Amino acid sequence: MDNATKLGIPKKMTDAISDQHEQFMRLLAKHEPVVRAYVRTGVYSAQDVAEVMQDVSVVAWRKFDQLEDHSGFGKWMTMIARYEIMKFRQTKARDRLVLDDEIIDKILQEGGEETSLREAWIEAIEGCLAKLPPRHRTLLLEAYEPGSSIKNLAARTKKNPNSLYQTLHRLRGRIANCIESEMAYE
Amino acid sequence: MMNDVDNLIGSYFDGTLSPEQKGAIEELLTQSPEARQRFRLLATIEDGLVERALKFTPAEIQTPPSPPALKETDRVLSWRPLAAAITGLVIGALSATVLWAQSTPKVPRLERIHIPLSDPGFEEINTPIPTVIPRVFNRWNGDPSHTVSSGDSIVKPKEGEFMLKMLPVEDRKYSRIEQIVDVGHLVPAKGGRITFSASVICAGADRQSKTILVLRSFNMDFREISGSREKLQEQVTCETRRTVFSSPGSTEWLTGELTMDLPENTKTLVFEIAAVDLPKASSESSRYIDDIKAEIVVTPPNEFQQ
Repeated sequence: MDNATKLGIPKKMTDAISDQHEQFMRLLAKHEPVVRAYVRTGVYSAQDVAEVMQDVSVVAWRKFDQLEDHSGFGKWMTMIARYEIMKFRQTKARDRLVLDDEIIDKILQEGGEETSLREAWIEAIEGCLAKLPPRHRTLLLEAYEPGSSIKNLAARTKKNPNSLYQTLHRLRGRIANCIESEMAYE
Repeated sequence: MMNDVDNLIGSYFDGTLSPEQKGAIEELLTQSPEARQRFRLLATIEDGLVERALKFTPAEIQTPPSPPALKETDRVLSWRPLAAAITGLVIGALSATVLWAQSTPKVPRLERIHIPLSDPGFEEINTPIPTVIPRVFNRWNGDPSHTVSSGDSIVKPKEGEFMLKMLPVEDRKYSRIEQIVDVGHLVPAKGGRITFSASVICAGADRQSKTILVLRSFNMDFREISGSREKLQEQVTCETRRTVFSSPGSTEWLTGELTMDLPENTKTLVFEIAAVDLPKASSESSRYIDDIKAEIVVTPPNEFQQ
């Protein structure tokens, strides 16, 4: 007896988790990084990305049977994401120092047409990160380490928090320049 | 010029933007398509670095040696479970255990690695509990349920200000929640022993009710877990469950705990809690869950040799 049966899960439920779901999950796994990066454009924090992505995934799954051409999954999910981002901003982002909705919507609108470009950006990040000197690469990754805080990192590296912020801005700028130059060669 | 743009955008993503800078960046983004694209690129890098930092291997981190009396790191655990990969390295035995071990040197010190479950006390009331499909990592998935405060119920949370109220699912005998946690960097090479506990209270129940804790381990990466129970069952390397029985009229929180030896190379754990025979929504009886904990007890090498 499998665990689903032991727990009393009706067979119709296990049957419902079917080929369609497998297909959806494969597409989701493939396109999730690009959509997540898109979502990051429109929300204030990395934590918000997780919340919006949850909603995007649920909506996409609910509407998956309406998607006729699966090759357009990434763009289709990006459209869902744009709507969910704006919905999220309306309900949860009012009390923060966020950018104007019109500006974000413009950024999202333009970004919706950049799915392939964003994919290329993501692919280039690792290579550009590797080009940084090891100590800078370590510093940058430590700043993004889960649970990390600039205050703690500054104390540990004996830096002033403001100067650490500036350093991180510079390092991200260098990665951005590197990615742009990589794109220019393609 | 681009440095100024990067600084403004960087401050925005860092959450350090001043009102003046906010005005400046909004003007810039309104007028310049290049700045908007740079914004999107930096957002992509932001997200990429968050993801890349999750793969940041312990060998890459220059962690100072652990002090003799180890205590939890001062880092704030975040929504990313892989915080454990980093945090766990600097977490040692509980103070009492250490003191005991120091006074009795013949007994090996047991190192305990805290597993940072996301929202273990259901304190993040803005985080809804989603449906189980598709599964999403680093948070509770499951059947619909509510986080409630003591003000919503006669029951007081076991800890903190909130707890989870399980809701019945139509045509099903149980309701469940689960959380998928990446522990690839946490599990010692030779495995270890994991404890998983949760507190349960059945308010107003007129018959015995049960809540089941289930723990499953996988050697597969958490990203590979597709949500298919059938597929998951084939991949489970170890599974343990513990039933918590609540007596009719019980008014006390009961804590159920299970222990499981982790197989070598465990990468992913799935923590599940199933409330069986939940009363109908109209009933005054309710099932609450709170204070979920999990930790790995590292088995000393000599224990394996004996």
